[in-house]
Amino acid sequence: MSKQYLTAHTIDNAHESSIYALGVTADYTLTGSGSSVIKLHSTKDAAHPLVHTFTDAHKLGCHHIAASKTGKRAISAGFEGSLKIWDLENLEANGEIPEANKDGQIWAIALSADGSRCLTGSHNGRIKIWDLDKEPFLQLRDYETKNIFTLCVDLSADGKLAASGHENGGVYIFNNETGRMLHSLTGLMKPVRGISFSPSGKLLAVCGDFQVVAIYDVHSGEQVFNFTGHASWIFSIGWSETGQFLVTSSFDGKTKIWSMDSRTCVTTLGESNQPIFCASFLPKIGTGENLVTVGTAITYYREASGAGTG
Amino acid sequence: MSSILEDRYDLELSNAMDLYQNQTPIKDDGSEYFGWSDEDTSVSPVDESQFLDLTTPIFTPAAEVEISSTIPTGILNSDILPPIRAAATSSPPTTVQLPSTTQNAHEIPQSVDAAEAATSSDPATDPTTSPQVPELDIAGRVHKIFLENRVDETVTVTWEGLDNSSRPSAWVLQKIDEMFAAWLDVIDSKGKLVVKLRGCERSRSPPKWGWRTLVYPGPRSRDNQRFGAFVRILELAREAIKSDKIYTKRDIYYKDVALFGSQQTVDNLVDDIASALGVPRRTLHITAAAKGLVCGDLSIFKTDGSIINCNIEGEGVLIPSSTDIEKVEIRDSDTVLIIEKEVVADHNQDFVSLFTNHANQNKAIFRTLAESGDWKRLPGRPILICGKGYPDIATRELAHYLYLTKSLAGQYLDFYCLVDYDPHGLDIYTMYKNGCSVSRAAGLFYEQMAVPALRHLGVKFCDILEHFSAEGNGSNIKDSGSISTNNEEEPRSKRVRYAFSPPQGVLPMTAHDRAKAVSMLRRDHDTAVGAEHTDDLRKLLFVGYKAEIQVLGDQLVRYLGEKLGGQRIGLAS
Repeated sequence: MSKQYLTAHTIDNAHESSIYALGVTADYTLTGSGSSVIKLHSTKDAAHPLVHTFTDAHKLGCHHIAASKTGKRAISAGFEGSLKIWDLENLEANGEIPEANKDGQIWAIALSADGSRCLTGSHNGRIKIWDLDKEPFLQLRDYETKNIFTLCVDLSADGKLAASGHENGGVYIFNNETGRMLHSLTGLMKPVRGISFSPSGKLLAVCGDFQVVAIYDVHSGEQVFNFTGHASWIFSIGWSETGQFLVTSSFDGKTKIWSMDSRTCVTTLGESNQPIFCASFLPKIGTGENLVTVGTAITYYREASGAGTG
Repeated sequence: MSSILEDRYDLELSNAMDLYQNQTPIKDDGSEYFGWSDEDTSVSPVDESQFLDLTTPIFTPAAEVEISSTIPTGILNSDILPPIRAAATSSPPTTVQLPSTTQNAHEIPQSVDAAEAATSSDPATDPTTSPQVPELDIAGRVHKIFLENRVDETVTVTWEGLDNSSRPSAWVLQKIDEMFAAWLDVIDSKGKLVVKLRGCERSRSPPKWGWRTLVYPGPRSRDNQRFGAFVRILELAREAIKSDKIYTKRDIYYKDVALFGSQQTVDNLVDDIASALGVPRRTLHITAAAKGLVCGDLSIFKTDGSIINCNIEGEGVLIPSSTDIEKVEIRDSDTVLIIEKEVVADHNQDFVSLFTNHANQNKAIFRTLAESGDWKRLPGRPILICGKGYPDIATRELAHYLYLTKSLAGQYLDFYCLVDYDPHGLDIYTMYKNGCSVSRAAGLFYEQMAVPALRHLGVKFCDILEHFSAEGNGSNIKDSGSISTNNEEEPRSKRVRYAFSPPQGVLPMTAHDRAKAVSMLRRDHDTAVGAEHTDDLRKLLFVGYKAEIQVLGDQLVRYLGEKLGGQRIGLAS
């Protein structure tokens, strides 16, 4: 079974330079680029107008954004190595975890579903959990790994598990309740760029320069199966709300949607060969699984069949 | 004047407080300056007593203090106490500096020389005193005040970095002599020597104009060493100007390896002095060793009457200093191609390439083009310039000269640059383009080395992309349109081959590369010149891979042909 997608809307010059970061809530699509601002476009409105701009967010540019499922809070990581917290209800800055020393600089970030906890991965492989509800932000957990650059991190929906992916192919799963490492997943020899817990928290999807999407069982640590088909480095991975589909984006400009039921790729999108740095499903409205990608532009896609509207 | 002095005292006091509180010497960048060795600590007390009555003027190396763990703490503390503090608490012990003068093992022979020189009372035999200026013996006198009690009387010499670029070397000579003369008075009045240099602080990001203060005797041992190096370089510059010789920075370093410690010290100090005096470096009669290469259809007419024909097969011609160039005649070329590297080093022997038995040969970029004569067949018959990494002044000045020169056809030349796709490559590109690697406003004479019309030919981000689509992904990417297509899996063989052969020359970014990229971002992100390459820096950081010129491999000539040809068509339309 394949899915049909149409380009619903493209915002070509949303940012002056490439767009690296994407965070989606029911209200806002947050994007970060080489410029110092974070832009918020409307997610619901079919024309996706610019609703708000966080000015002076990151002086040197922003490379990752994570938004909470509840849509109340977002965090962003900048090239200078700091992390900023944004209140999406009042549209204002809500504190900052400042730039650490050179090795401890934050790279990868993730936010819990309610936005109260955030997970950071740093240049030297330290994985930390922070309590964002009150300042000064407390460090709840500090996991030490093998001093390898952390490219991606994720928290499970219930916040009990954390996972990190590293430049040498290392993948670690931590139990936040005990503070122990649950699994060290080996076998991936290349940079791991995307890591994501399924909505149920039972599966972990991992992607990266090995051009394969690997699905692990969180409890056993076993690799359940693989998705193959990408022909370049895979930059991002995301689950649909139901956990039925996965979306991945790659360096060669392809965005692929994978079905967990049929275990196949159901759609390949991509008009240009410019890298797609991040892709994400939109919160589900109606029956279609709509999505948004960022790279040189912000592009919204609408599922053609079953979407109901022409 | 008084406010300047206060500032200085504040600074010194803060330094002094640091030291006093730490009780242990700060060895932060000491090694960079001196390169101390472990033997320093193995000097026996007998040696010390031998030199305790040393009153002969000898210059800084011997007077230098290395504080090591073997020195009794009492001596150590008083030793590093700054004069200002000593003056405030009455007079310091008279012997404070002496015991440690011999701590530096490799300086002992010089001390002996100096002691002998004292008996013959002939300062000219002192190896560290320039024989050309015996009448001044500045070094000896400087050491004298180091040995004596000091009061807080000082002489401050200030060079403000105003634009003096049109002044002759004789003016520099006069400035140096003025300073030395001013010091002579202080030495007699037992004061301290302070030099304030205004220049561009390259270590800052973004770089900015700032003051560099040298104090003698200073609160820390390395201050004295630095001051010594400073005086030595001025002495050598003075000597060079007087005798109308040219010293290279390498020459200067080898004049006193122990004093300078590293080539970097000499380079920094020479640049600081030139910057503070507001003159180009060559006015000091100091140059860098010839490094850059040029090859192409041009002739360089030198001031001594000789003509260098650069249109010969071979490894290219060393670029002479601009002062030696009378004029340059360009013949049948309308393009200049600046290449970062002469030879590509073979450091791509990672695990996988060993595994797959890739033949990683040294790929000579500039040399291949120059030797094979391939450049003649490239569009525009480019003149090739290679600065071998960061270009020296002569290379940049030649590029600037060509930029101002018209070809035989009466056209200005087009300038292209081929560098690695990594932070250093982009830095080198900016250096050619702006004349220096710091932002444009900071340099005075860098304008005269800049090639504002320079364009970045490669290697670019899209070349990695193309590399990928050419090697691994044969599928046509243009037909998918906005309507999605059902995915067909690509043949497995193709995928496997791709997955296990990393592209040649595409390497992961190291921690050093990342730090360099971030510091360049900080430096350039809000400048006009930075707009062009900062996006590339971010892509490097985000993607985590860099690409060297050798990513082009055997396709270099074809690549250059296409790119240069494409640029020319782009220009015409």
